[in-house]
Amino acid sequence: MFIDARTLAEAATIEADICIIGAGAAGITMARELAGSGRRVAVFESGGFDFEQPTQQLYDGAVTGQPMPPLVVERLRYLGGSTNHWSGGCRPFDAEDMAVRSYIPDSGWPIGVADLDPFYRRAQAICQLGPYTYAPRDWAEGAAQPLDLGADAALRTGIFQYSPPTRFGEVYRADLERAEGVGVYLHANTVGIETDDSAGTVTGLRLACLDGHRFHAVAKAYVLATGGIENPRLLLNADKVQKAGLGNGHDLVGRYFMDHPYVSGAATVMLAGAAPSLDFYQQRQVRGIPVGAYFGATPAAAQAEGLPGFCIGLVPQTMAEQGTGRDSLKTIVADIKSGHWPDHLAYHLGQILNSAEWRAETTYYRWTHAKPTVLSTDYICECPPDRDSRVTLGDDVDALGMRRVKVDWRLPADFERTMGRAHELLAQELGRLGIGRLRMNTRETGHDAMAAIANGFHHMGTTRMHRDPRHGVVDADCRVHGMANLFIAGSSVFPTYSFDNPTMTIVALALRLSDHLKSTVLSALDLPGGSR
Amino acid sequence: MRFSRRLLLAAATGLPLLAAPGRAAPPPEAVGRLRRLARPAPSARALGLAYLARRPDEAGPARLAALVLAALGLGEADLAAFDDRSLAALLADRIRADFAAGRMESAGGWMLARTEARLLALAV
Repeated sequence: MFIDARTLAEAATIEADICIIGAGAAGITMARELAGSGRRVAVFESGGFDFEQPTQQLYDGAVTGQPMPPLVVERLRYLGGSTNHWSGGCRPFDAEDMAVRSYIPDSGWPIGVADLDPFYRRAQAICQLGPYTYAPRDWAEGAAQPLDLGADAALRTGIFQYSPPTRFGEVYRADLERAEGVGVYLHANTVGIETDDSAGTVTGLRLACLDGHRFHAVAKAYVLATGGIENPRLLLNADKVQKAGLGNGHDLVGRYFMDHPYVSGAATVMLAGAAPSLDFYQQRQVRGIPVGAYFGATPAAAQAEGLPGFCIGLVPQTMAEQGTGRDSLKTIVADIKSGHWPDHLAYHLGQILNSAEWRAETTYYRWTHAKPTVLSTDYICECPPDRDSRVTLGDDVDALGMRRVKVDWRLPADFERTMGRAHELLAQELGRLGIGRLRMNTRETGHDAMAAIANGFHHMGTTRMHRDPRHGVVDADCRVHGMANLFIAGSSVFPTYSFDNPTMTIVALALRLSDHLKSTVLSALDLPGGSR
Repeated sequence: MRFSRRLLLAAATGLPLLAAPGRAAPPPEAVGRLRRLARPAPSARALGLAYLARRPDEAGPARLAALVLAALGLGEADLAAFDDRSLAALLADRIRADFAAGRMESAGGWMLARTEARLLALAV
């Protein structure tokens, strides 16, 4: 059931067993999983069913480190959250993505792929993907065959599947409407997390609407599911009892902020006339399922070379990034409708033009059935965790009195070297197989790819998972260390993150947390001495 | 340094960069034969020059030819046993072997096999 929080009585108190803050991929997944469990679930979503500029402005903040688009562009604050603009790429982590890697400080999850695998299988359906297989051979068809890279090769082929992409707010809206025991409160902004005197138990939430309504919520367990920037923002703003912010006894909340550096056109690949087909590596449909393939390092090569997780995709040259143009257009239209001159107009116009260029080029290749002979690489990688890459609070506040964030994203000093080395490995394979030659686009060659580093809009790491509270904000069950009933869902718990779009792992972790709450936590909290 | 599309294509194709072998008897000098196989088109100059700028110690046709032949395991005297077609095949194999072994050189941003880069330099 949906409830417009602006219609609640002033100072109303909502009682539930579980409060979920945020209705994006994680929050919606959890609400659906907990529906019909006999538990009362209250979901608090800041936005409504669609984009609203005043609500979106609550996301504004400062970017002080590596340049990235404005924070109001990076995320979307309405039902479905940032799944309203995700690109749909999905792939489960490999074992090494979650392992302790000696060459990546602070790497290693307290859980492994085997723990996530059953949840990945369920996430596969939720993200509207095809069969749960990511073995390249299972996606070969006709002339589109993976290259035979050989057992000793440093690179291997990997597969992404592409979600439609699932807009969680649209696709699962009807489910939420009829979900037994679930109330989804729209226009409901969490502005305070109240605790007992020891900051060990959450006792309630303070909520507010932009029209001035204020109300409360109390529950047995609370889940923050507001993304990699807002999760730490909420914890850091909750400083009434624990002055450094909730869960921040070891000064970790907001640290280790990570995103995916994305370099489009890092290199140019010229194909030889009689080169083996690279059709497999183009985005295509296999039995109706959209897939794409990439080159990544084998675990042995990554270790030998000290390389972070990376993938290199091949696209016809000058193909611009898709997808963001539509969001920019919506932003401009919404601004003009509401009588505002659009903020960041030049940025948005650039995104729209890039999208137009991409569409024109794609259409050309589709109509002419021509195969491009010049390809560009798209390089995406993880960055080793960095304590100084972080989200902090600034001094200015939003319309609801919450301190805004400052995001200081940092790239590793050896980023260009590792990107270059990854491309050398690709050049090696392309040359060995007689496919073509690769040229790095650098300052020296007049096409400086480093000048155009983008980010994936994938905000991660700021409430990282670790068994030891000195090294992580949440434990292996996503419970905030030192707190009885506060949990975190979403990519902020990722301690490392490979090169994958995080959505599928966010959904898998949300399913796992839902099971954990149902099977263990809530029954324990029902006992005398539980949180309420 | 900027490159023409023709140069990019030439560099990308590797083996086809080598001129199609003719039926004429191979010239006696290693430098001449290797140069002819490398087809000293204007487009190849830029990459050859870029390589030499990075490896000035290899400058000079005789030095470069000796290095290429040594990589093939041949002496100048052995060349007579190979016609252009078989020499081109030998070079192509060596270029692929260079890639497989990671013996690559950067010239103007291009990641080339070492033997390939030396042939381009020889063509300058």
